[in-house]
Amino acid sequence: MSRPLKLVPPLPIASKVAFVGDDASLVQAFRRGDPRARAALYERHSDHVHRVLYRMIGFHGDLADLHHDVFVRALSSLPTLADPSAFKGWLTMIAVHAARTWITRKKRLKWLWFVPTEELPEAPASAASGEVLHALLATYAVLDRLPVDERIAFALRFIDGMELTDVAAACETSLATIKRRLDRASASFEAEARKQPVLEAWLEGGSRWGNPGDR
Amino acid sequence: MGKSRRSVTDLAQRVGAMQDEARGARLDRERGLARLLAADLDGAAGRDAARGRAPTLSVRLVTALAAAVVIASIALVIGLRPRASLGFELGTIDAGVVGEWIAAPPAAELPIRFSDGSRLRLAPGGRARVASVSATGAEIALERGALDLEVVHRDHTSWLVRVGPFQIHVIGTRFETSWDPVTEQFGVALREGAITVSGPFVGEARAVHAGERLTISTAKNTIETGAIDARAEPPPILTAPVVQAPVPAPSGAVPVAPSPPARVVELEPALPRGSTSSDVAAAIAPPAPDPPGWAALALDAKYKDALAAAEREGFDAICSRASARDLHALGDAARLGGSAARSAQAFNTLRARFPGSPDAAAAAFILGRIAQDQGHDYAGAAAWYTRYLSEQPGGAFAADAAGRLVEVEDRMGDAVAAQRAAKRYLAAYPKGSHAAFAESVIARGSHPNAPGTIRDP
Repeated sequence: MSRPLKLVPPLPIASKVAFVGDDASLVQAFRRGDPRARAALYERHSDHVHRVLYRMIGFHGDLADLHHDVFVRALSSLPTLADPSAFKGWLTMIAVHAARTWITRKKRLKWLWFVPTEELPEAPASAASGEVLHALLATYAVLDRLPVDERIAFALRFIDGMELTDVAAACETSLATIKRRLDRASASFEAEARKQPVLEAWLEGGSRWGNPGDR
Repeated sequence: MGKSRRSVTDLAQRVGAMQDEARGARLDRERGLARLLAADLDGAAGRDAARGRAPTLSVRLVTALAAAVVIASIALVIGLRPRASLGFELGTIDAGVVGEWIAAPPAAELPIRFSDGSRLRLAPGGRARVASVSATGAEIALERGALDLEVVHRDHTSWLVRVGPFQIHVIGTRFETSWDPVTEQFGVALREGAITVSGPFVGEARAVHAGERLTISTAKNTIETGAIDARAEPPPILTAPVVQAPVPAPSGAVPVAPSPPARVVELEPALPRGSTSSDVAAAIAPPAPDPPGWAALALDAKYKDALAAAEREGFDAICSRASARDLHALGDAARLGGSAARSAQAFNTLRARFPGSPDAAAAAFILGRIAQDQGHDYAGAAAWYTRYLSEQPGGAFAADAAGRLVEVEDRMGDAVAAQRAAKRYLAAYPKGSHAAFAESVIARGSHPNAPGTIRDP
């Protein structure tokens, strides 16, 4: 019954042997049990998944866990993937699903725990100036007020710059629906952004944040 | 696409660019890959086999119906049966009862075993109570005596130990704590893991590190830190002066003024077993010839000197390597030394390097105060207070943050937001120090506040 704390074994070392082949052959290799395939799929798509999640939820302490969860979900259900060449889009879909669940859960928790709805999400301070930091915080505070599907569509299309068709596929909906969703999201975002001084200045044509390339 | 739409999309693109530049948010690929390679995919397959597929409409309908049935069943079960919480046993056979006082015999310790494998040992003569249990942990109240805890770490583990006026937050660890209500002395010694202590002198969350012992006397206004002695006895109180700290009182503890911050005497690390008192003396002598560093000056409440010393030592370099606790101290020294910018830098770094930690949450509140009091940036202050409240809704600064949120919303002239904040404040703290002000905000209705009528807390 008793389980005192104990030392955990070191994490396994990733194979240094690179895998050659497209996504379809990688998926087939994974299904065959090729030990290099798991690492290769991660190496190939980890940045993409991280960026997509980051756009949707902003910087948060749960980002790394969510990232891990997406890969675990994807790889554990890989046998069900009908078209191995569509692995990246399928992975994106899982990331969207994970982010949607996370955002919804956070909103429920806020409601349950009497947390103000204006809660600002975490932002990495790093080298960003206070104003840039506030801009990031304010942006995700505004996104928090949008319906979750509109927020996700907005983040993927406008913050990430994803193609409309890819956004529709990731959100598992039609192109027409995603366009309507984006229209609503843009209007709502602008209305809410104008309530945030740092964002309003930008929308009014100010250059307070400067050019990121200049920082 | 109209002008405003272009502005929104342009703004969003700029946000993406800023995100890409933020170093703190970059993916740790090496760690992520190692974690994935260690993951049990077979175990997750059963849970997640259906995830990620694009379900058809009929599948969705069936899923929705099934979900409705499941939700109704769960609601029924929840309505009929309480959620499974940890159970615990006393001694060898007695089942523990939540809320009842537990007293250890005068000559023997009393083991308390929890169903998650966590083990507690109440020292002879001790008196404690399991105040509550949940699926993820328990709340223990130690009335007197010593308690040895070995808490098993699991996902979302959350234990709280109330010891006199102090609270110990535990995730998974092994430590001892004690409380003597007569002498009002609190002690905690951490053997493994990490805990935070909150209460008098230590504020909201003072991290205690493995191998560290912390002793606080609320009667004498003293606080001592040192290493856990190898013999598991209370560490010897050193009477020699400590480097970079003033000569302590004969007892080894330095009396402190009732007003914060309490001064801390850092004892030398424990010496190996068998060390003699002369070894101890050798270890702490001679006094360092170098001028005192910023940390020592900050402990001496010489904040301007501490800030100047930090600048000499390299403020940026300190920020990049300091512990969370030191960053907190550095931020306080800079703030009280007169540099709001340096203080904000330290606290922002603290939040970036130690996200999710109690110190990071406290930093949010302090950043709010800096923005409000020194920068007169009320929107920024509101953002930080809101952030703090979201991270620590029951934290030591929660009442102050909620009250200050009313102030800054009112100061910004946003009557609706100010009233909303005031109502929330009054609901949570009807007799709080900001209650009168919150009531005045509500009574004023939607008429914006005249500048300068805000009242200091």
